[in-house]
Amino acid sequence: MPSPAPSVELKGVLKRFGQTTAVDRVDLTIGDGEFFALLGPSGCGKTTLLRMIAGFEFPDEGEVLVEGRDVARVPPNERPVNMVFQHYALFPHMTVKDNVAFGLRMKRLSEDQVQERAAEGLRTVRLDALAGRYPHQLSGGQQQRVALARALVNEPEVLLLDEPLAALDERLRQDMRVELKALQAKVGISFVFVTHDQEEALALADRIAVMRGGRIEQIGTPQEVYENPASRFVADFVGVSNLLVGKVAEVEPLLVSAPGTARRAVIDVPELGRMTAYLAEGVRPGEETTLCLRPERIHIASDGVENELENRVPGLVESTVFLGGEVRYRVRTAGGRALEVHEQSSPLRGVRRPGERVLVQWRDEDARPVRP
Amino acid sequence: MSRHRRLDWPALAWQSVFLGLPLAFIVAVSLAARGPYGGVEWRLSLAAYGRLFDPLYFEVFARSLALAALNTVVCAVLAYPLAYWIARAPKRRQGPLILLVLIPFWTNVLVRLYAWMFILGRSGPLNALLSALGLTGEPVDLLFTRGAVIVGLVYEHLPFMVLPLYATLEKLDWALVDAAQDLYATPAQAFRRVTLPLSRPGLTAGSILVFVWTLGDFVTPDILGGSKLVMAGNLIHQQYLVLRDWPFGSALSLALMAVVAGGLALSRRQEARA
Repeated sequence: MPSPAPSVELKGVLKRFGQTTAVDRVDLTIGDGEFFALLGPSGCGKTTLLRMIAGFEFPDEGEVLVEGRDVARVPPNERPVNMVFQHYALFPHMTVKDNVAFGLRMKRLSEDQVQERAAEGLRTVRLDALAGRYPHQLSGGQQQRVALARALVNEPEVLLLDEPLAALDERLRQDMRVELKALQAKVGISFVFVTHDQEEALALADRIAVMRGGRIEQIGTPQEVYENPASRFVADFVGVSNLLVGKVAEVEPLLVSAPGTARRAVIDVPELGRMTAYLAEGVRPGEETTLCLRPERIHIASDGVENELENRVPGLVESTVFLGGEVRYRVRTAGGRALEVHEQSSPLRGVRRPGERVLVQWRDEDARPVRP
Repeated sequence: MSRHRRLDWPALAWQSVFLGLPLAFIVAVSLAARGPYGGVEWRLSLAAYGRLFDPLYFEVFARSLALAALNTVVCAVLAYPLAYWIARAPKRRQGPLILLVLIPFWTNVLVRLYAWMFILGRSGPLNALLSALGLTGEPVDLLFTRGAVIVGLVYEHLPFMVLPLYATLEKLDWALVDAAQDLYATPAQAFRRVTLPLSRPGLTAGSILVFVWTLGDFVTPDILGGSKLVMAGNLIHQQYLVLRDWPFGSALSLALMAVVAGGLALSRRQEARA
């Protein structure tokens, strides 16, 4: 029978270190079997939050529930969670096998069971051949897998991971992402991980909480967070975005087939000119608004070509970066505003050179209003 | 490879001048004969080594080894909590705390031992405290006892245990202790399974320092033991400076060195096996 309680629930959790508030009244629910990311820049409180779920820090206020039980004051060795540490924290004086067996021995399982489950854990991460080695004899990727096995053999309710891939080189990181995702699907428990790498969060997580200054800015699926950032901060932190700040000039009557209750509005953006976008209902002329326009939503055409997209701005290619599958342009509009434009590379279109006159264009619905 | 060889030269030269030469001199003197009015007569003689087997000297050596071992254990037990506490203090406070450990070295050891003579004396503050608390009627003889020597030895050698212990604990990755507790270890288990084994290098280094220096110490037993407690260091000191028997003093020194070297080699082997 599936447990009715969520894996982890935080209610009004607050943590201070001296004068600074590291985590500021956070509410959060992580579902059973969910792969959840805590994303944010350093100092945003994400690691403190993770350490409070692990039991290394006790909150000053609020509740921390694991599988429905309040564990806010329970020490780490009595919590049904295990952690994969940032630099793995493998015991250097123990073999791989003894590292993996550590938790089982502390739980006073019989030595037969310890051996059996440790061996099984090592097979899961395909390290059974290296059981007798010491951590310093392993590569970074292998150490990472030992850390995973060491935590997972204890069959925790929740696995916590602190920057799990940060210590690996780029190539290995790509492989480990796939492996982590597969592992999580296989063991079926909740994984909660902390990262400052937005790409990692987008690639791995079912849901992401973007944190800033001890608070959660936005919680959502990777698509929601990327396509509909709640705030200027999220838009900026997750992916690349062109942030356009302008004044609402006109709000059109609710006649056109606008998405939901949004209203089409004309906005004056300094250095860019007039543009149109969908804003929330109730917006009035004269108000300031911030829009997030993703670089890949902007289309680029040669100047003078006929176009069907609502917003068109002439400009000059300022720089071109060819990345193989993608070309990244910086385009300076006639008014002087720089725009990031990312385009799929194509042998038919070729690559535009700096100095070329172009017309950048985008649809009304692609510029999304965000909280300033 | 060749580059390493070249880098070895300054160290080798240093060792030869400051260790090799004096040692060679002692070996030479130990094989010479004692002159009738002290001094050394340069003819080959094994007389000094013959005298080593006098049971009287065995007793002195055994007593010294036991006292050095006791001092090492007491220092380790006292120094560990202190080193641990300093290593876990905020980084900016660690320097000043270590400085406090080192401050006694700014004063000559004799001065510090005389201070202890005063503290432990019949009319000293410790006796005053004891009688003020009503624990003793008459002043107690604390000075010139075996206990006084042990107190002095511990006091003198404690920093040599604190420093190497602090050096290893300060480098310890505390995430390992977190990891142990995350894996169901109680704080005590985490200490025994992780912190203690990983601080062993510091414990070993500190133990060697304290043990060896205690064996060679002659000032502390002299001053606080009232010359009643003869240790290996006192014996050697006497032969050289009082009895002016340099060959026997040298033979005693070399015997002491052999005992220490043997002990170290033994503990090394055990360490490697563990």
